[in-house]
Amino acid sequence: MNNKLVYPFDSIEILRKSSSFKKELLKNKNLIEIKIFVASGATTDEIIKILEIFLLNVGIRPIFLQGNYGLFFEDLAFENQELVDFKPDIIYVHSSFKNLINIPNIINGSDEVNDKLNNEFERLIGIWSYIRQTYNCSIIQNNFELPPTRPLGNLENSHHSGLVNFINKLNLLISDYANKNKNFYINDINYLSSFHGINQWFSLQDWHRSKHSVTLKFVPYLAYNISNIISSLYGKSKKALVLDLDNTLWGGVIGDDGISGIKIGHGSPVSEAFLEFQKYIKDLRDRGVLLSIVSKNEMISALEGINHSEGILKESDFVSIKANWSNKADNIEEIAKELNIFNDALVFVDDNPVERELVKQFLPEVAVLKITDDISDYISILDKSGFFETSSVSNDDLKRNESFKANKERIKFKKSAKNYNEYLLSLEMKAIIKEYQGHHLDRISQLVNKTNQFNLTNRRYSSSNISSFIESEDYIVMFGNLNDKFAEYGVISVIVCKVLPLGIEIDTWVMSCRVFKRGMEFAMFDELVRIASKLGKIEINGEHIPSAKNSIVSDLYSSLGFKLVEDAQSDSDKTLYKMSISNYLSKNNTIEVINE
Amino acid sequence: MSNVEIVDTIRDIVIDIFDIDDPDSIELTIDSKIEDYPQWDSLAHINIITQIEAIYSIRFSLEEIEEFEYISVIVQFIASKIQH
Repeated sequence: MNNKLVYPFDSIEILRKSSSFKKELLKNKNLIEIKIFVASGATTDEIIKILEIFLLNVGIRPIFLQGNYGLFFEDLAFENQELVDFKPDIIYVHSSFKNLINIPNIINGSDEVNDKLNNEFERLIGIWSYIRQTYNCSIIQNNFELPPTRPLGNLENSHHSGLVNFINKLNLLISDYANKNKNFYINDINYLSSFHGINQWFSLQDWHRSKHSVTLKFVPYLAYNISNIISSLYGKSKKALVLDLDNTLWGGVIGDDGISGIKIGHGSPVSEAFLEFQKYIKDLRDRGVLLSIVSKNEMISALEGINHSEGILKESDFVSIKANWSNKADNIEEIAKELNIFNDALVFVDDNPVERELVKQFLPEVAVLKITDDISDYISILDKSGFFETSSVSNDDLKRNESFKANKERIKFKKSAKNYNEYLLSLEMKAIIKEYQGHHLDRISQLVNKTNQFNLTNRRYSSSNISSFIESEDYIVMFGNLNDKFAEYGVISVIVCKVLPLGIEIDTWVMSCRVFKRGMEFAMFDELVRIASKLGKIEINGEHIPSAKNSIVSDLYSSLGFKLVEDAQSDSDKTLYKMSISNYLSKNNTIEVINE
Repeated sequence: MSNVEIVDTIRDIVIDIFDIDDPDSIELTIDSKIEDYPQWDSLAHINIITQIEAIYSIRFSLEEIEEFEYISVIVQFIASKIQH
């Protein structure tokens, strides 16, 4: 990770050094490739250049195809063989208010303006529908920024012919479309431009000079915003916050100042600022971000502070609390292990620059929040960092903290069981495992795209790819849903198989880290064998493509009874396996599978 | 600030934006002409102007930018703006 690219960054420096940053980032070998078409409503060269380095910084290597200048509509709404051949994973439409062609005029009646609004929206829908039918990829669409000038003054906001009014309405239509359509994501430049100031975001001089609809200085903010959306689509968003306590979650030092001395709650500007920060973190927790604490404190004082009557966060909001005097880097690694996630899914927040530096040095994969020494800046920096960007909020996200806590209960419970099998049985696990039947498409694609550990081949598919597998006779898409006496996990495993003349081939198999070592893989596989034999197939093929993160599955196929296929192409990383299903003995004996 | 210092600053910007590994390989003096640098295209141009504006906290007008043919012209505009 290049620290210069971590928010808050110096956009001028990024513009100046983008080429050398790129060279440095390309040294990282563990990159996933995605193809992005950038459709243009204005100059896009720098956007592409800067977006590339932000994506490289999170482990994504983009391959770009740049649309013709200003021709986003022509490039996207009509036959375009070049784009068909390119096979984009993502189409980004960089349009702006300068591209509106149905602008209201003061002489128009309100019906005429309404027609113009509909025409403008239909034009956009035309693009999106054509993309959907033709390219089967995700769409990232700019909404519209407000115009920098208002001939009607404040009346622009309410008058039917006001452009401000028009754009506000158009943006609502786009939001509504995004809400109803999959694989469609808004790049909210309406928000970004107002956050940075419309007057800075757009400069008429830049427009005249070089047809930039975003001033060069703000291109890095635009590109960063897009890279966060893409990160979230490819499972690169962070999952957990690791928080310090003293002077981070409250003002003062609990060990010295005591419970009555720390600053949290209503009382002083500083204590209110800490309260506000706790409230923001609580909001993150409620949408599925895991919270943990690493603090140099005695556990007893740490808990006393966390349970302060005026604080918003409570002990039960945290999935792990480390209050001790050992090295913070060690504590953080332990938390990652407990939560079964990688260091690169963690964000560390600490007011102490020495601790931040230590974590940066020892755990370079952990994102360290670049905070200032003013508590009132913390929220904005954490918020704008985009670490926890999400493309959707699933029910599983809302329940995530609960299920991690259930995991801890389970660990306690495990200690009382005699052996592991008995322990698994005592969990009273129940699973639903079946072929896809019209539910959970979001969750299925989320799992396929975001799972790094239990993932045999690391292939990434968009929800539209998965929809097409489901509709195709040549594929089987199967999912598993698990619960036990402590928690409901929802959909936690997905298998995608190609149907071959004699057998089936497992193209993709993923499982959530929350249910490792529970026997779920055996239950899934039993069911897969059943489906294959029902189709009259006699064998199952599997492949394993190792990655930096999936060592947990390196022996999976052997443990299921597959035989190694001697690989002809010894230069490739993949290992191929095969199994005849004629004498298959079912392997699951710990999970009750209920398939009606 | 002397003109020599301004030329050096422009030179440093150009080295970064053109991503030149060996700084000695680029010759840029007050007499250099922008069109002599093939990498100094319209996009690099805007980036260079943005960098200069940020470093000196100045703003060029659209008309001034149109006159940027020689380094000497840019230096002149910068010098007159930072004096005020």
